[in-house]
Amino acid sequence: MNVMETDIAVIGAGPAGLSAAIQAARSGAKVLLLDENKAPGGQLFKQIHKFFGSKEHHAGVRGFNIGQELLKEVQRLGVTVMLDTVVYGIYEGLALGVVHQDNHYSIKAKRVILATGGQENYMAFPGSALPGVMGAGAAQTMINVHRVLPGNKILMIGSGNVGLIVSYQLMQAGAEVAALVEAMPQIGGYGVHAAKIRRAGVPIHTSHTILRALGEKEVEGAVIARLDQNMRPVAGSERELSVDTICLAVGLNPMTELAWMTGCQFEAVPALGGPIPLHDHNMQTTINGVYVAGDIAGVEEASSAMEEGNLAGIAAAESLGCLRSDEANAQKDIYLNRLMALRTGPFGEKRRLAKEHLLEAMKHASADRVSS
Amino acid sequence: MSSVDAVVIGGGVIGCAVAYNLAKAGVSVAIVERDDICAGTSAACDTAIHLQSKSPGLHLRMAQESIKLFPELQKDFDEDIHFKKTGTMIAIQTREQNEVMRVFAERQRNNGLDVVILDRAAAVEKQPMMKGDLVGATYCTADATIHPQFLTKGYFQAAKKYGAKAMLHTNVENIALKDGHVASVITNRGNIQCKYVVNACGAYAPFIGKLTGLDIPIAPRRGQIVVTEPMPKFTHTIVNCARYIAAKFRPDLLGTSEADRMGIGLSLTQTERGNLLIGGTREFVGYDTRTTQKALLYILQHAANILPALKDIHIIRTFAGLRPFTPDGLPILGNVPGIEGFVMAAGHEGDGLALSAITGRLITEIICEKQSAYDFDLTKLSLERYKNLDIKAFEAQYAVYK
Amino acid sequence: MEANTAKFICRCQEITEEEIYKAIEDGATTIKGIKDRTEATMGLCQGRTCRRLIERMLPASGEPSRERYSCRPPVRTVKIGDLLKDESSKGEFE
Ligand SMILES: Cc1cc2nc3c(=O)[nH]c(=O)nc-3n(C[C@H](O)[C@H](O)[C@H](O)COP(=O)(O)OP(=O)(O)OC[C@H]3O[C@@H](n4cnc5c(N)ncnc54)[C@H](O)[C@@H]3O)c2cc1C
Ligand SMILES: Cc1cc2nc3c(=O)[nH]c(=O)nc-3n(C[C@H](O)[C@H](O)[C@H](O)COP(=O)(O)OP(=O)(O)OC[C@H]3O[C@@H](n4cnc5c(N)ncnc54)[C@H](O)[C@@H]3O)c2cc1C
Ligand code: FES
Repeated sequence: MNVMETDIAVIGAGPAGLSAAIQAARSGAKVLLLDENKAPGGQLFKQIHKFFGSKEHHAGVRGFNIGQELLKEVQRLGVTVMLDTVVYGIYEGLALGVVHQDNHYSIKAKRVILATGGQENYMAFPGSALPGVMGAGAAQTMINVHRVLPGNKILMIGSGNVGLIVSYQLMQAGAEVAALVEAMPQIGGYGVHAAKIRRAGVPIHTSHTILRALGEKEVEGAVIARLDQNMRPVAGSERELSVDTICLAVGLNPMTELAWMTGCQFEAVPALGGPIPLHDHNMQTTINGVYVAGDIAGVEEASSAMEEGNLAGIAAAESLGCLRSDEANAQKDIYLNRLMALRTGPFGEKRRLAKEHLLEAMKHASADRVSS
Repeated sequence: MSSVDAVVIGGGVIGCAVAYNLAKAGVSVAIVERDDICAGTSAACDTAIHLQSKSPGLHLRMAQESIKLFPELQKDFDEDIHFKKTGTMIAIQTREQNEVMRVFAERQRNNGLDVVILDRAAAVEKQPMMKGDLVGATYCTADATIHPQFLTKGYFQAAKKYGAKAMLHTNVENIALKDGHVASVITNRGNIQCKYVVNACGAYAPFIGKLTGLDIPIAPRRGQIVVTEPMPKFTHTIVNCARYIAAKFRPDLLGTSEADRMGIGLSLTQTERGNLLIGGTREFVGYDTRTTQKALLYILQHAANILPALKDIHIIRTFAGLRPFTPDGLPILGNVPGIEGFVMAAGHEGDGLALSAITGRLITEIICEKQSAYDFDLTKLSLERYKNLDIKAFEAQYAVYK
Repeated sequence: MEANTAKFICRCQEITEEEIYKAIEDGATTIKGIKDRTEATMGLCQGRTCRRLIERMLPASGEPSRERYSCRPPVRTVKIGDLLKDESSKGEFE
C-alpha cells in the first residue's frame, strides 16, 4: 500500500469539488483532487444544454464548457488531480482508502472536503426490475457521453428539470418520447424547458403515475393512471402505453456514504433530497476537518455547488493557517451573498429555508458537542 | 408491572435460542433486547457451524451435540436457516504448522471427529481454488454452514410462536433482588417481575453482571470480515488456515509482526447468494466495531496467498463484530454463586452460532429440571470457575475498556 | 417471483414489498432490522438504491428513526487484486 499525505483532499471533481480545490490552492495549501471518473467535471460533463442562472454562474454556457474552464484553473494552480480514482473509505484520523489506476493508497489528509454529489432516486412498481427501466441520468450518459440511444420509445417519469432536459435530449438524439408523467398537479421544472417539450408535441400528464411496467423479459409497455387528491390511482383511468424504455427522473439524493463513515451528524431534510450532513457557514460538518459542498450538502444546482465549494475551500485553507481570517471572511462574504441571491424565487426559497433549518440544527449539534 | 417466569436479556443468537427452548418447554418467558434482534455480534459474524475449530474435550463435545440439533430446528422453524453440511479444509502452510495440526487432528479423531490430513497435491485436487502457498490441508466432512441472521430470526419467531413475549427497544437498567433471589428486571419501559433472569448479552454480559455485583470475565474480541460480490460456486467447503486455529487457541504460537498481533487467520465461507465472507482478525480493542484499512489489507493478502483466484473478485463490504471472549475459551453457562435465579448464557467467543442450539437446551434443563440430561461437567462452564480470577487484571490484559 | 410482476424494493437482492412489510410485522423498525430479517440492502449497491424506499416504509412512530446508517468501506466495489497490487507492501505480512 502506498502512503501519501496532503493538506486538503477534495473528493469529487464536479463543480463543487473543482471550486473548492481552486480556492484552497490559491491560498497556497497543498491540494489533492480525487474523482472516480476518467474526466473531471462530475455531472457537468453530461450537460450539453445551456445553463440557467445568472451571469456569474455561466448562464448560457454549456455545462461541458463550465467544467473545462474550472479544470483549466485547477491545472494552472498546480492542484494534483487524480482521476480514475475511487475513494472507497475514510478511516480513523482522516486516512482515505483509495484505489487509483489499479493501485492501492492510503492518503492522510489534514482536511477533507466531501464533494461527492448526488445520485438518482429509484422508484419501485411491479416490473421496475425489468431491463429497460433506468435512471434518467443513466440515459443521459448513454446519449451525451457514449452516443447510444437507450431505447426508441420512451416514457419519462418525473417532470423536474432533469426529466424535462433529458426528455428533450433524448428527442434530439432521435428517440421518441411517448409521454412524461408527473405525480404532482403541476410541472416540477422550469417553464422554459417544459415549453420545449410541449412544442415538440409530447404530452406531460400531471397528476399521473406509473402503475406497472409490462413485458416478460424486458419492457414492452407501461400502464399509467390518474391520481386523486390523496395521491391514489383513480379506478378506470388506467391507460396502456407502448414503450420500450422507462426513464426515472424522480429526484436525486445526496451521496453521503463517506460522510456517514466519518461519524458526522445528519438531519433529514426532504426538500434537499434526504439526510444531509449538518454543516455551518464554513461548510464544516460536526467532525472537525471534514467539510461538505455541493449536492452532498443538499441537492441544488451546479451554481450553488460552486459557491459552496468556494466556501469550503476557503474555510479549510483558513483553518490550516493558509489564509488570515480577515482575508478569508472578506472572500466568504462574496460567496455567501451569491448563495443568498441564488436561493430566491419560488424554487430557491424552499431550499433557502431548508438550508437555514440545517444551520440552526448545526448550532445545537455544536452545543451538544461542547457539553458532552 | 408485568410478570413472567423468566426474562432473557439479549436478543442475539444465544438469547433467542434460550427463549425458544424455554417457551417450547412451557415456561413463560420474555426476551428483553435494548435494540433489535441481531443488533450485536449475531449479525456481524461468519456462517460456520464448526467442529474442527473446537478444542478436543468438552468444547468439541458440546459442538458435536449441538450440530445434531439443527435439522430438527429447521423443521420447527417457518423460515429457511440455510443449514448445510459442507465440510472444512484447513490450509497448512509450514512444516511446524503441519506438526501442530497433526497432533490437533489426532486428538480430535480420538474424540470421534473424522479429520484427515492431505498433502498438497491431494488438497489442491479436492479444492482446486486452493493452489496457493500451502504444504497440505486437513479435511473434515462434519462441519456445516448456516445463515446467522436467519438462524437468530428463526429462534426468535419460533419463540414467539410458543408464547414468548418480545420486548424490543427495551434496555435493562437494573435487576432487583429479594432475599438473595432475583425479583424483577427494571427497564426503561417498566419493570418485569420474574423468578429467573438469563444474561445472554454476549460481549456486553459484564455490564449486566455489574448490576448485581457479579464480576464476569468476558472481553470483546473484535473480528473483521470482508464480503465479496456474489460468485458462482468458488469453494465447496469452509476454508481455514492453521494460523486461524493458532490465533484462536494459542496466540503465543504466532509471531510478533503487526499482522500476528491482529490475529490474522483465514476463514472463508460462501453464502447461499454466492458472496464470499473472508476473515478475519482477533483483536482486543475494547468495544470498537470499526473496520481498519490494515486489517483489510492483511486479511486479503493472506487469503489470496492461499486462494490466488481471489485477486479477480471484487469486494463490496467490510464489517466487524465483537466475540465474547473468555479466558479458557469456553462459554459461561448456568447458575451463579450467591444469586438465586440469575443464570449465565454468554461468552461463546467465535462459536455462538454453533453452540446456540445446545446452549438453549442446557439452560432450559438447568432452569426446568435443575439438572442436565447431558453428561457435561457443568462446573467447567460455571461462572464459579473464575472465582480466583483478578477481574481488574483481566480487564487490563484484554483492553476491555480501551 | 418473476421480474415482470414482482414489486422489488431491493433490486439487487430481489426483495419484495411484501417481504419488507413482513419484517416490519416481526418488529423491525430500522433499516438494520429490515436488513437482518430479509437481506435487503446487502446487494452489490449496498443499499444505495433501496435504502430510501425502505426508510419510507418504516413505521413513523416511536423508535429511533435517526439511527446511524452503518456505512462501511468500500463505497464502490473494489477488485481484490487492485488492493494487493503494490510493490511496497510485499512481505509486509508473511
Ligand atoms: C439533467 C441535469 C441537468 C442539470 N442542469 C443544470 C443547470 O442547468 N444549471 C445548474 O445550475 N445545475 C444543473 N444541474 C445540477 C448540477 O449538475 C448538479 O447540482 C451539480 O453537478 C452538483 O455538483 P457537485 O459537485 O456537488 O456533484 P457532481 O457534479 O455530481 O460531482 C461529484 C463527483 O464526485 C465523484 N465521486 C463521488 N463519490 C466518489 C468517490 N467515493 N470516489 C471518487 N469520486 C467520487 C462523482 O463520480 C462525481 O464525478 C443539472 C443536473 C442534471 C442531472
Ligand atoms: C467476525 C466473527 C466471526 C464469527 N464467526 C462465527 C462462526 O462462523 N460460527 C459461530 O458459531 N460463531 C461465530 N462468531 C461468534 C458468534 O457470532 C458469537 O458467539 C455470537 O453471535 C454471540 O451471540 P450472543 O447472543 O451471545 O451475543 P450478541 O449477538 O451480541 O447479543 C447480545 C445482545 O444483548 C443486547 N444487550 C446488551 N445489553 C443489553 C441491555 N442492557 N438490555 C437489553 N439488551 C442488551 C445487545 O443489544 C445484543 O443484541 C463470530 C464472531 C465474529 C465477531
Ligand atoms: S437495491 Fe438493495 S442492495 Fe442494491
